[in-house]
Amino acid sequence: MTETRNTFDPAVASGADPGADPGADPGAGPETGPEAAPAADSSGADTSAAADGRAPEPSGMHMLTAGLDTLRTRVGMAPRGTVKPPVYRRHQYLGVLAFVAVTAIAGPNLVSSAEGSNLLDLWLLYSLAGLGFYWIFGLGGRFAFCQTTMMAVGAYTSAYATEQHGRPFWQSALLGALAAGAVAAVVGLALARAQHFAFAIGTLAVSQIGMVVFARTSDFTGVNGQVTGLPYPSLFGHTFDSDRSAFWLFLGVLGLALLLGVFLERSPIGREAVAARDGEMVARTAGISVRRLHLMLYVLGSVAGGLSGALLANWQGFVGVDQFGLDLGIGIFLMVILGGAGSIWGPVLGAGFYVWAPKLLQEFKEYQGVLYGALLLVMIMICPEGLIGLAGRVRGLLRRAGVAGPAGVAGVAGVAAKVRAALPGRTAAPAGASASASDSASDSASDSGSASASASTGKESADV
Amino acid sequence: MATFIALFAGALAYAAVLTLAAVGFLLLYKATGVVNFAHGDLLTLGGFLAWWAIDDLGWPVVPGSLLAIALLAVVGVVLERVAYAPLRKRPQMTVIVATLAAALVIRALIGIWQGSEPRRLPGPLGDGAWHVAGAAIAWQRVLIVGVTVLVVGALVWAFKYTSFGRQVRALAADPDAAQLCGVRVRRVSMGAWALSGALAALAGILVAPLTVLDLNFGFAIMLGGMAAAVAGGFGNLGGAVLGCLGVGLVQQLLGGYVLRDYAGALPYLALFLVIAVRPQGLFKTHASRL
Repeated sequence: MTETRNTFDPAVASGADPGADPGADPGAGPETGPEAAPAADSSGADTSAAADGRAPEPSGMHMLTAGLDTLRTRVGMAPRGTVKPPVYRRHQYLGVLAFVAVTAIAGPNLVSSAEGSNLLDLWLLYSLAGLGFYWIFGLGGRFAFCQTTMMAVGAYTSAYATEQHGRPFWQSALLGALAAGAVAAVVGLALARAQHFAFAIGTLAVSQIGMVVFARTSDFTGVNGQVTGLPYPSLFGHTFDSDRSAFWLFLGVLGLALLLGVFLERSPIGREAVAARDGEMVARTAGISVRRLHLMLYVLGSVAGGLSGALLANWQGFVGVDQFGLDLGIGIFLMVILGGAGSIWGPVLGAGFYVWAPKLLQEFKEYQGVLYGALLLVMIMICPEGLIGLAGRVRGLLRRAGVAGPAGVAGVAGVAAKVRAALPGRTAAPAGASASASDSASDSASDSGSASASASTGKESADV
Repeated sequence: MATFIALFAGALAYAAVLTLAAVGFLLLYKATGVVNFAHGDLLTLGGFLAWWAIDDLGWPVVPGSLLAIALLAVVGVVLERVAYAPLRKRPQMTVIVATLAAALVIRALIGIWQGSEPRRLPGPLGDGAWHVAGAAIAWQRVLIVGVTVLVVGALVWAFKYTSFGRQVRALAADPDAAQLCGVRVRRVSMGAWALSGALAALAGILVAPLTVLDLNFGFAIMLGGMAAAVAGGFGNLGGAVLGCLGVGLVQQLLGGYVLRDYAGALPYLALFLVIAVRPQGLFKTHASRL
């Protein structure tokens, strides 16, 4: 964990760790928080000021994070060092815009086959659903099994609105997202008191109920949960009647969702969510309404899932129960864990991997499950922060190695290229996209502040 | 009346199935604090191993089943070494993800080894049935209930009177204090994984003759068992048994008489309501490790 000293890098593992929950040890929270915070506060401020010559964080939040570090030490976890709130990272919005721009340029130009553009669209939609799951799980620390159910709710609702009531595309998609949000609000309120494992099992119950209900209620979801013959999505008189044109629509939606994600990370909501996730008792003591926060993140993530499902339904023209089964549920989880559950770029990267890995490994098709499982196992053992964390780590190592001069810059560029080449989920087609995603994310995760992919090399030399 | 008896017998057998699955991962949870999401796939693996021993090796049903149970105990130890021991000091979420990864690997390996077409495993008592008041109850169901009662009884006895059981209970109560008192964590952990694997195989072999054996066979049963265990208060053996009984009765009786179409969703609806009203489970009195 020492590599991440200067980075704000909430690891998955510690995030949702029930063992570190002060609730498990009633003595720890109130005892450590106030008493140890001031001491840790001053020392933390010293190191942060000394390390990068910047003003220390606002004291309230800093006391809280310092208290959390003390708590971590107490429950046997490594202290995280200086925590830098995301609001101090620069160019995060620009990072999103750069990602959208690079994808918009690279995507259609590098992908020529019909299958390729299909996968490209699927990647964007899965990224959206994964982003929703990231808000619930990565930021909120609540494991919701029912993200695919929310996708199904969105898909069926928008299909119903389109077919039975003849609503235009934008209305039915919006309705689908809102319906998912409404379901999530009811579920979230009912499960508000449930702790980690109980919440996971409760949402699992929701997904199982959803499966049966979708397959049996024929007037809303079609016979056996099959709806076919949905018209193409159209917006402002323009019909997105092919994979290539739908790409623009999905990219736009994902871009907006990512902007919202950055806004969330930088807002008090993001900080409070991290505090509530890492130390619920401390957060409560500091006056954070943890339950309301969890409910909000859950509803928001579900809305993203519902929107993704609605877009998927309108794009593919049909909805089926099997589409949103357990496989995709585990898939979304894989995306977030593999990509990295500590950053909004994790799900984007992970979704890319999830979509393109089967294509790359076509000759090993039957070993795909083994590979996923083994990869997940290795990843969780070696690098619980996911691919994004891996990129950030390499960066941190390079910076520490003290690369200097022109040779150093060349070295950085060379290693960065190697890292990019080693990143799974990379094909000729999405190379620009996924690499830029990792690039900008690791940039924003470290303090170099150069979030834009195109400017990263120049910025690096300036850094060095 | 005949319908009622048949449904009731079905409920009992289903509850017994869930209980067998639940005791396997509850034992592991008590000893190590791990919720093992690979347990369902161990059930599947047990079924397929028994099928392999009986069909491919030509062994009789009972020795073939025993072979599968023994092999699964070994698989349990291997899992402990590969997926759990290196992560023992890590946060719990990491371990849970690792078990999920192990589940994916096991399932994929079974698929490569045996293909994905469904099988039918023969039961040790054949296809006969017991006729009570006009209702036919398959021998296999009677066997499942009998074995489950025996297994739960043996576990309760072992928890109370054997050294291993006491060590497991000590670890469940307070891992650190238990370690300080000389409980051999490593050994207990390996023993618990082996026993849990054997129990998974037993459950898989007993249930498989009643249904079709395919790749998703065990996972569905495990989810049901987990649901019942959570409803009963996770980590509480008695609560889990009662939870399984409740789930069985709700699904078979309510689903058999009233809401036929939605029978599959009923246990989960009940579970959801239990978590909403009493998040700690029906029979939970104190805080657990999770």
